[in-house]
Amino acid sequence: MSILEARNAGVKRGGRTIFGPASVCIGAGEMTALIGPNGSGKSTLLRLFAGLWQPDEGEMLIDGEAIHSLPRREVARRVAFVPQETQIDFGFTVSEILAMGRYAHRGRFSPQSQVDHAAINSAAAYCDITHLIDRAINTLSGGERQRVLIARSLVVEPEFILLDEPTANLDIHHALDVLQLCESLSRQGRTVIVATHDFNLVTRHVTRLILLQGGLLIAEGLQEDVLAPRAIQEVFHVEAETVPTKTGQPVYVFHQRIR
Amino acid sequence: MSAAAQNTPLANVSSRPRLRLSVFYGFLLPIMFLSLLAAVGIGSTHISWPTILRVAEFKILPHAWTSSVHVTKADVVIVWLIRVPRVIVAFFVGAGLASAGVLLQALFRNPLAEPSLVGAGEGAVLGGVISFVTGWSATSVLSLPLMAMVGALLALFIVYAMSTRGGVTPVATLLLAGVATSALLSSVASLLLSVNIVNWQIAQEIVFWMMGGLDARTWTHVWLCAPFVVLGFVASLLQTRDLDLLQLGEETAASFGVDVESSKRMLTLTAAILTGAAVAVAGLIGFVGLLVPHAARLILGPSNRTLLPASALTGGAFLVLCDLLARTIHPPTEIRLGIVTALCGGPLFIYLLLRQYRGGANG
Amino acid sequence: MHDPLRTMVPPVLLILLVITIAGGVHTYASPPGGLQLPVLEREDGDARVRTGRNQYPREAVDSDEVKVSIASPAHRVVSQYWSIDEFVYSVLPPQDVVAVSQSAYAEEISNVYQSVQQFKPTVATDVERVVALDPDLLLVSREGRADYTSLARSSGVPVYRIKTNFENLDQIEHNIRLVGYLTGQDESAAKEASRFRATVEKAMSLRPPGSGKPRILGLGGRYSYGRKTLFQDIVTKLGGVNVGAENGLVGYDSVNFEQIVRWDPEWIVAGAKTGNTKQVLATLMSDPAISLTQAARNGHIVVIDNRVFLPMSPYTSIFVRAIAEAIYGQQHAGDKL
Repeated sequence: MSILEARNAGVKRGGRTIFGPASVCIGAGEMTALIGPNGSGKSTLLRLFAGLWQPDEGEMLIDGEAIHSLPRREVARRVAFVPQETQIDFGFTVSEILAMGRYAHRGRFSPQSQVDHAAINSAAAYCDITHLIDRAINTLSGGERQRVLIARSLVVEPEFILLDEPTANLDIHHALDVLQLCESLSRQGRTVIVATHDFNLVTRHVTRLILLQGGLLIAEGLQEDVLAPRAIQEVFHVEAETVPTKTGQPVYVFHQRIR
Repeated sequence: MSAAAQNTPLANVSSRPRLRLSVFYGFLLPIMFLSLLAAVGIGSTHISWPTILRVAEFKILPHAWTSSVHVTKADVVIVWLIRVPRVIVAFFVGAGLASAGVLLQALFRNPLAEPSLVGAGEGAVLGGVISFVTGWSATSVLSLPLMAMVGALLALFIVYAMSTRGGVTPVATLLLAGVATSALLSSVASLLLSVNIVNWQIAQEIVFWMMGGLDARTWTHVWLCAPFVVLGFVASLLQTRDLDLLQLGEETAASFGVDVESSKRMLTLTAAILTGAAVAVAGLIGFVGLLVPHAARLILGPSNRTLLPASALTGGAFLVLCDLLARTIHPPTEIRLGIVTALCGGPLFIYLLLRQYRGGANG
Repeated sequence: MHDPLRTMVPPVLLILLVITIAGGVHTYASPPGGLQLPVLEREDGDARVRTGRNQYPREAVDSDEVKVSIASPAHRVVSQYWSIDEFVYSVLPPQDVVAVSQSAYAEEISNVYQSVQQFKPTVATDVERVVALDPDLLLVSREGRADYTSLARSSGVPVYRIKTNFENLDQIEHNIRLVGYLTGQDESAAKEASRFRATVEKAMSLRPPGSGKPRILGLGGRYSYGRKTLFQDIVTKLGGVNVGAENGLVGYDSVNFEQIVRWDPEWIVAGAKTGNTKQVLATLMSDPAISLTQAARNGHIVVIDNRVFLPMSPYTSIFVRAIAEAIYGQQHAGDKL
């Protein structure tokens, strides 16, 4: 049972608390979105979950154990992180990029094994990039790159996949593809956490939302509960109107607040 | 500096295909062997190839088999004591500098990174200068390499101590600290030189040494340099996957399980050993650490696992050829090796840069 | 987390590794000399040479504490440094000098230019060529880098490291005799040594008895000569006072011209490139600081050709004579040589 938990976790910079303390639990098979305006602490919380940052107060736990007490490699095998910045200026081929994902699984001296190969091939197939396997990554489009990076994190065979603004620079149809991919991953049994500020796209796929503002956790739970119009108004400073659509999921339309 | 690095592509801009590794080595290995042979065969005195082969027989084969070999003492001395060690040292120095260049270009994610950026090069120079001005280099062959190696490692230690806070060494800070320390150590070396300039003979020796040179290299220097270069190369080879990941960003690397701080320490230390060993026996030689990895990357792509051995062998061959040139262009004077590498490497480097920027459509 | 002590461990370990490897090389693969530290107060190793012995084999211990054994007179001698060139050409028949330093071929600074042009010895910078010459003796400067010497020694060439920096004229004379001893040219060396001594003594005798001590300043570009220099010895022997030493200079050190005005020397001895003596004289006379000195006002500036301006070889005797003649003889300011 894979659970990522933040227990009164807080981050300080220069003596000031810039995030937290926050407590939240994310369990297996869920697709959770961290939403909030820029600077609300979404990236911070995501990085805390990924073990990339240590909390200055409180703890981050994975299955009850403190993340930073575990060896770095073990955490890397269980938690995969897909960063926001997809621009890679080097001519690594897609296969080389995917192979890098197996770092935590391979010893320093061991060559690439069958298991590694299998993981790479299946990740490539899952993300539909097998036809790009020998292309240089800096020649791919934004959407293709994003899929490659997601495939790279799949290669890790992780329990948790954390994505930082995965749809930020993508065309709409690529963005939808990526989100669909994330949803299918969570249906596979992995825990997917997405940090984003574009929640209209995300809310169609996500079961759980965590709303953040100013470094604090404002609300969390199901979409209807978290995204009440009053909450949206307070956090995002806009008026939101819910519009029903043919899929059944409502869509939010925003208006400037008339003062 | 890091902002500029982000705008500078480190590798292929267009989707120009990489050269297949087998083709590359198919070119490189024969050139490498030929240059080694040429460097042993050509020198300021003429020695014919049959004689060289007989000397090789005489020295390598067990004594019982070589009783009928006729070689004069002078031939043996010239080939085995003068030329062969020199060529071997040239090869290892070139390989060491090129490997250090690969490490640092990946670590700093910058194509203009070269071995001397972490201060090790100038530290070695300062160590050497101290050995000269105290007169120790006049009495002992070991003093110069020893002081140079110690200087390189101490410089690295200073640079690292300056740029580490709370166990974390940001790469940008490391780079700045390295550049600043290099400047400082270089000026101290110049100060020592200027104060001692009245002693014309020592001053001349220092200046010539600082321009790089492989004159009077013996087997002693081979044993001083080769172990460190081999050690450094093997250590680098074990870290190529870390290098690849670090090149993509520290956060990415950490997320895949790389112990970033420990990796950076190992990498800079390895680079310092390689650079220190090279400067210890050859003085300051520029361009090999900058040009060879860069050119290899343009040809073979950025994967460090292929890049490292390819750069090392190419660097070795390149320096052997440069040294041959340095010895034979204007006999009996030798042109200083650092000058030859700069004169050969500079235009080549400019050509590669122009080709890359003209071909690529980056804005 | 990571304390500074831990970051210190790898470099320290590495320095230890370096020292260990150096030690290993020293024990197993090192040429003679090893890790020998430079002697601070340099004792004249030549004092241990038993000069005057005419039988062979001869022994000499040089500054590296290497005992060089000489089996027979040397007829193929190599000189690696410019001042050694001048010694060997003064003592040996010119055809016995098979290699010289590069400076010997530079007409502007070489006192042996004619000899090298006539006999065309090889240039000794390249050890390969030196070995190919199969020399009997290689004379190397004591102050040069150890690498060249050790390579030559391990090639089996007999090498003697000889003094090339002198603080007094007696050392030069001793060196002449030493070169004779090493090469077997004892007679020729003895003759040259006496000629050297005679020239110096003649120069000393030019001084009128009971005259005052002229205050002389040596000027080598922007540098002057203080205590513990050859210039000091020459000036003292000629009965003068070395202005540089008088004012606390030790060794060869820089001066600025304002100091010179304050010191106010009676005589200034300067050097110039061949053929340039008039210009240098004019420049000095017109320099605002120098022109205020007694030397300039009385026309007591002596400009001497650079080739014999303190040449650290037997040719120094020419320098001594030139100064003496300028100060005590009929000619005063003007060109010399």
